[in-house]
Amino acid sequence: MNVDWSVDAVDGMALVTVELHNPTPVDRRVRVENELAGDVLPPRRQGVPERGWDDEGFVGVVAADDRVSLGYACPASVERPPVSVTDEGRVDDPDDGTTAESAIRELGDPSPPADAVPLPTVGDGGDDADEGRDDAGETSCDVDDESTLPTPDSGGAGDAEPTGAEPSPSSATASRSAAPDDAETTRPADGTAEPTVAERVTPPVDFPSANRLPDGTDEELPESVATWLEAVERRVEYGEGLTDASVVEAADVLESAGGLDAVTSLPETLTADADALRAVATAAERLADRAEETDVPVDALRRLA
Amino acid sequence: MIVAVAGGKGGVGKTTLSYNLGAALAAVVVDADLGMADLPTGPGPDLHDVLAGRADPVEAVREGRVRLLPCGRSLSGARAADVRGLGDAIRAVADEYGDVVVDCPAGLRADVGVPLAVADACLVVASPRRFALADAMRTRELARELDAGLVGVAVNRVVESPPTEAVERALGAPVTVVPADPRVGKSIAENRPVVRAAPESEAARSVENLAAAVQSCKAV
Repeated sequence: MNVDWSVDAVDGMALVTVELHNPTPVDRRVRVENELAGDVLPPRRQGVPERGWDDEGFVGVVAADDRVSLGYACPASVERPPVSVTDEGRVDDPDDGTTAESAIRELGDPSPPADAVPLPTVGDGGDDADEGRDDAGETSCDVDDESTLPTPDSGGAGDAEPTGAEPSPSSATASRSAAPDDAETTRPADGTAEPTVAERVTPPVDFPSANRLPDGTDEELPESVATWLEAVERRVEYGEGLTDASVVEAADVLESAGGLDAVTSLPETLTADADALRAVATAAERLADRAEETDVPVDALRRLA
Repeated sequence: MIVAVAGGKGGVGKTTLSYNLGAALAAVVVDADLGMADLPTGPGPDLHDVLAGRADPVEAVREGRVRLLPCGRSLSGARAADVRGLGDAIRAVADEYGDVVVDCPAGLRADVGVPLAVADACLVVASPRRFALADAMRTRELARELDAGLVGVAVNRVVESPPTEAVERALGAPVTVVPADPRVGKSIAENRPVVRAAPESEAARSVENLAAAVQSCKAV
C-alpha cells in the first residue's frame, strides 16, 4: 500500500489528507489511524460520518490497483506524520450491507427544522404550544408536556445541564435581550447559532425587569442562572402546592401544571434540583471566597505597561 | 423478524394496515412516523423519548390487544429524536418480542430508510389509484436499494376490482387486495383489529394472507 499524506494548519485546526494507492491485484482493507492529539472530525453527510470513519480514523477497502483519497480535520497542532496506516490484508468478504447510517446519509435527517419547533411558555399548559393532540382525548407523555416543568435532564441529548447549556455569550445575550414571550425574537439574533436543546425546553420566563434572585433580592444574576433558578422555583412552587394539599388546591396546581403527567416525575426532579442547588451553592461559595481574596494590582500594572 | 410497512404516499392506509397486520402476527407495531404519528399513545415513554435517550425501547412498548410502541406527536419531540437510534431501537424490540411491524411514514426520508435498512422484509401499501402506484414503485426501489426484500404489495381500500395484474407486473411482487371495510378503518380508534372483530370478513382474510406471506418469508 502506497501512502501519501499532507497536513496543513488552519486556524488551530490540522487538515489532513491521505492518499492511498493499492498497487496489488487484490482488494485490500486498510486502517488509517489519527496520530494527532485531538478528535477526528470526519467528513459527514447529513450529519452522519461517511462510511468507515469513527473516532480513531478510517477503516475501509482500497480496490485492486485503485486509489482512495481521504481527508479529515483535527483540532490539534500539526505533527508529522499525522496518521499511521496499517494494511490489514486482502478482503475476502466485501461487506456492502446497508446500514441505518447509510440510509440517513443518503436520505437525510427527517427532523423538523429548529425554527418550526414552538417555544413552550410557562403556564400555558404546554399543550396548545404544539400541535396534533390525539383525537380520542388520550394524554401523551410528550416533550411538550414535560416542558411545562422543565427538568434538569429534559434535554435528552445529554448536553442540557441544569444550568442551561454552556452559556455562550452571544446566544445568552441574544436570546434574553428580546421580549420573553415572543417566540420569534427569543431566537439568537444572528440566526447562525441554533438554539440549544436546553434553550428550547427551558421556557422563557417573564422577569419583572432584570434577572433577580427568586427570593426577591436585588442582585442581578447571569441570565442562564436566573432562568434556571426561575424554572426550579416554579417546580418547587408546584411541589409546595401539592404538599399536604386539599383536593381543591391540588386540582388547581395540577391544572396550572398541565395535568397529572406533568407532575408524575416531579418528586425525583425536585430531588435532583435540590442536589444541583446544593452543589451549585457549595461551588459558588468557594468561588466567591476565592474571588474576594484576589487582589489585582491594576495601578502597578498600569505603570508597568 | 422486522417487517417495514411503507408506501410513499400518505393516506393509503399504512398505519391501519400495520395495526391489523400486527394483530394477525401477534407482533409489536412500532409507529416510526416521527413527525406525524398516528397510532394512539398514552401516558408513558414513547418513541420520541426512546430516540432522545430518555427511555428504553423495550420498556416503551405498550401491552394491549395489539402491542404498540407509539410515537409522540410534538414537533419538539420530533426535533429532539435522533433518527440514528431508530434502527437499534427496532432491533431491541425485535430481540425481546420476536416480530415487529414498523409503520413507516410517508415520503422517502431517513425515517423510512432506517426501518427499511434494518427490516428483513418490506410490505408496500398502495391505493388503487394511478398516482399511488407511482409512489409505491419509488418505495419499492428504495426498499431494494436498502436490501429489504419485498414480501408483497397490499392494494388497500379497494372498492371496484383493481388492476391486480398490472400492479403485480409493475411492482414485481404478489398483490393482496384489501377491500374497503369500515371495520378496518375504525379498528385503531376502537382498538378492535379486524382479524378479531370480524374474522370472517374479506378484509380480515386479506390481512391474514399478508401475515401468512410474512410468515412464509420467515421460514426461508
